Amino acid sequence: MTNPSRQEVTLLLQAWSEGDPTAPEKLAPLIYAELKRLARRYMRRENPGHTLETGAVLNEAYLRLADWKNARWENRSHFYAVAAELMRRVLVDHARTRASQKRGAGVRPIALEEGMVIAPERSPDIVALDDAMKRLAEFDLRKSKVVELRFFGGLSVEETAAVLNISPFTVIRDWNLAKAWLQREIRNRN
Amino acid sequence: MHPERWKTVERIFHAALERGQHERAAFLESACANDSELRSEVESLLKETSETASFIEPPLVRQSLTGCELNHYRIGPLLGQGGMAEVYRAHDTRLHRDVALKVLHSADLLDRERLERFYREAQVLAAVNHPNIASVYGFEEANGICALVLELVEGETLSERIARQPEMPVEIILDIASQIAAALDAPHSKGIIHRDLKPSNIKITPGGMVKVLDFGIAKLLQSSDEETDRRTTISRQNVVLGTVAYMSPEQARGWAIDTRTDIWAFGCVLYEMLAGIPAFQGETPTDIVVKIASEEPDWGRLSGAGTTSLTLQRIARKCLQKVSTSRYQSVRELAADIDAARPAAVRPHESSAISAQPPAQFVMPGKAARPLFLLTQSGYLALYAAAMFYIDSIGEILSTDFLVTGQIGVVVTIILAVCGIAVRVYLISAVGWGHPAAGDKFHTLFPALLILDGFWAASPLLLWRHIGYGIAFTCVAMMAYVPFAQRTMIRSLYPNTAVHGFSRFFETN
Repeated sequence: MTNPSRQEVTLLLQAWSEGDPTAPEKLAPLIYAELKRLARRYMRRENPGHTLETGAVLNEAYLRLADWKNARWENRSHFYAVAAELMRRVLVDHARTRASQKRGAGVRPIALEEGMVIAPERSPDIVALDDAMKRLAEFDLRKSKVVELRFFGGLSVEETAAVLNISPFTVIRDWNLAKAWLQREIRNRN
Repeated sequence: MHPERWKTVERIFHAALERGQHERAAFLESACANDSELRSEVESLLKETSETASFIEPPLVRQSLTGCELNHYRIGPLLGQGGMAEVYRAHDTRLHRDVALKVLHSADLLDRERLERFYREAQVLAAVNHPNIASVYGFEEANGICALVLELVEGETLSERIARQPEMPVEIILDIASQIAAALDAPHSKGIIHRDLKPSNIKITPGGMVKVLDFGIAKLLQSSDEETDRRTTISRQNVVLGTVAYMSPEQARGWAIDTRTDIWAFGCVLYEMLAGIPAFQGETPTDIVVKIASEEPDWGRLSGAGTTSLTLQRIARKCLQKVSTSRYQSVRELAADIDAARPAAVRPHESSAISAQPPAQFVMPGKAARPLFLLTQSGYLALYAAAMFYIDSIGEILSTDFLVTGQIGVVVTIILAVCGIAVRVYLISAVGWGHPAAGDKFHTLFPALLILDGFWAASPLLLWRHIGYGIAFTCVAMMAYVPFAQRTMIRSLYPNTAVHGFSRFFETN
């Protein structure tokens, strides 16, 4: 498959790893459309036990959009850094629309149905999580990024470490604290 | 929260986590000194960690390796996964070829001794070279990822093929069976047993080549502990291999196995090709194992009547003997019997030309072929009726335009129509009601049919005054093709009927 956007994505990823600061902004719309399409497709599956593995969506997007045969590792992690953020947007938008459709106007956050995120019994209230993550980012951006990559991007500890350029150990520590803080925050707000 | 304050919270939080439950209170007491707000902040966060082990935690799925690199292999999309390994497509950046990487779940691979055993056995497998076996290229290990590098085989698996076409023509079954037997022979002579031969491990390339996958890899993946509990062997095998349906009785019992275990599995595969369903089926793995150990497969399902088909059924029976000494003792014996099953009339180049993909095969689905065939016959009947109706005009045109004197033209036309009606009525009744011998009779009748339909193909010429020469000749050419089209329909309606006599001259391959 050699459509123009595939080359474009690969070139942009390359440019980014060579230090072009505008690359992520140019990449975002290309990836966003694909993620939205893929996520919609995954969500439409009617099997109630089905879970949307965000990691799988991102992987599929990566395979479709980038030339993986000639890619370097940095390209992939750059891709994930953008894609996790976009995936978060896709899921939050979806949750908000659903909420407003179901309860009329007014955004009242509800837990996602259709087992949309990860295992259904664990799926948190996406909108509340997103709000809490925004508040966390106000004083600790890195921890919010760790959660974004791990939860919305489905990345492993090692991959998250590579994307953020910190050690896996730091990722685990950040993850533990951020999780505790977010959980408490969500509970207190409800 | 103020970032400075947050840093302090963070430091105390992690330090407290590193301490045991009992020490925590004392530690917090000293660390927070008199700052009770700080202390309650940290304590409430610590409380969350004990309650929320699963909050937003990603599930325990293995992280995809797509896009990563393993030495000089660039890992691509996931092709499939099993209990012990995942298979990725990958690109060898040195040799510039695509390969399949079987990435082993790393949990128990950290042990050096096991790794070395892996290297050794992968080398043994890499030494096996046969066109019908997907080669093992080697074994790679880096950053805690271990993977077998395997030949990438394109095409569909035999299980997909059986699902697509449950009633495979017997010649194709014969050809696939003989290629599988050929694949088993070379490794067996080196003492390598497949151990996990099953339709999903057999691929058919678009060119019709059979490739046996995962030769000897089942053993490689088996736990190094030889004395594993038999029960766990079954349950693990069930998890690992996805099915126990192709296990031999000795394998199911956990007894020692040898090359005759592969002969059993071959029998299961052959049965499945002939019957369209697995030889042993059951609700649970235990049911299947019980059937394997004590029950015969349903031989009534193998109902093909031809000589080849009967011979193949006999071969399957001999492979599926419960006691290994009653089976074929070697693949050579088996292969000899398969060769003997080939009908003498089938020329070798014909028999080897199996094709896996529908486009290359040119087989019309039986469902479409029957109504189409009956429609063609009705068309001819309509043509005869029209000819009888206009018999006077035909006589006139024949005598004026085609110099057929007197009543000869009319008489010949009537004779041809009467013969035609008899043939069509016979074909409609025999094929329409699905008489099993109709295919055979058709091939016998084919030369006569060709002559008869040849005459009738000329009939559009009679209308040349009305439709012009060009269209008349085009119609003649089209109608001349119809007998061959009928033959093709019969071939797909009766795939198991041997093509004989004059009809065989028109075999395409």
